[in-house]
Amino acid sequence: MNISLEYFAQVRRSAGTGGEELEVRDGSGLRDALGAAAALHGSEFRALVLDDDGAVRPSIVVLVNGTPARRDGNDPLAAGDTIALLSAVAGG
Amino acid sequence: MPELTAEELATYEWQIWVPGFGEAGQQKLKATSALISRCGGLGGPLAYSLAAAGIGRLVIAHAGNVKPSDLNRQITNTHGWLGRPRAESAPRRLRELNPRLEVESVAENVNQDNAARLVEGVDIVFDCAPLFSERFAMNAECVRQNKPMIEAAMYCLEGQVTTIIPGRTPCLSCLYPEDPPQWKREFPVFGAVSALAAQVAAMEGIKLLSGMGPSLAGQLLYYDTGSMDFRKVPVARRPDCPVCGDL
Repeated sequence: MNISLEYFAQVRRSAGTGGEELEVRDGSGLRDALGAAAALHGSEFRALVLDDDGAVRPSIVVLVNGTPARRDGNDPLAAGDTIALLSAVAGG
Repeated sequence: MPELTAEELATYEWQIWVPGFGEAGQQKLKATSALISRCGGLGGPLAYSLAAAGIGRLVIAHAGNVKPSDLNRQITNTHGWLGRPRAESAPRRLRELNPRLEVESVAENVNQDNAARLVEGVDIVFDCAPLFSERFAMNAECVRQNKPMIEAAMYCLEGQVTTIIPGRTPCLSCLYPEDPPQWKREFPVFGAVSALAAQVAAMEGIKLLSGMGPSLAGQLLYYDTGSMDFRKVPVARRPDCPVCGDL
């Protein structure tokens, strides 16, 4: 199935794009999708978004179709879902 | 509520025309005191707009001396003040704009030792700090003292603003439960990008204080001046938040 990803702040810079479509296996969850995105974008992106266990870092806000995702990353996904990733910033 | 003088009525006439604000809103603003931490690329323009709008009292916390690299965005600091304390520069500039403004300047950055005292003395906090340790210290005190905090932040060409109302909206620790490891003390910045977040934060504060109501409670405004995308995303409280979970 196809899902959409949207990247903001440092996640966007790390990915080198504001968003993309990814094809993931049917039945995939949020964690699977982010793992697929990390495989695509490399170690910097992975370290920014995921911890060593593959869970989403607490400093990343994750929305699935505009709704805050579960912190355990076990949100189920359906074809056409949109995942947004926003990193914490503090500059001034 | 404090009465408005003839000078204040003349100065603020055009914003008093704003529906929902009026003289009552102006009086509330005059009666308000706010903490701004720090008075840099976010806090400087924010302080300017609050001073221009007629807020009664500002407490500005910012340590250190003005450096050349401050001057692309920190508009309360000037070339002539290089090497001199930032804490002295902002009040001078703000009083030029609004001599009625009461300004208390604190030559310290917010930390766990002074956050309680600084937050106690004000009605609202504007978080413009460059370090998450400062932001978390203010957040915890605002929650403990049940005071609103407007959270403004930026990075590169992008900015984020949200309004934190303890017990009603997510607090900063709900959004980010730990000090983000990727955040660095120095960051790419244009003054116009940080000033934009500052102006959004100023209006959120003015609306909240005057009774017009905030727009970013439970929502985070994100913008990217590279693409000129502006959007609001929902943010949720965390039931197990160690800071506000019991409220």
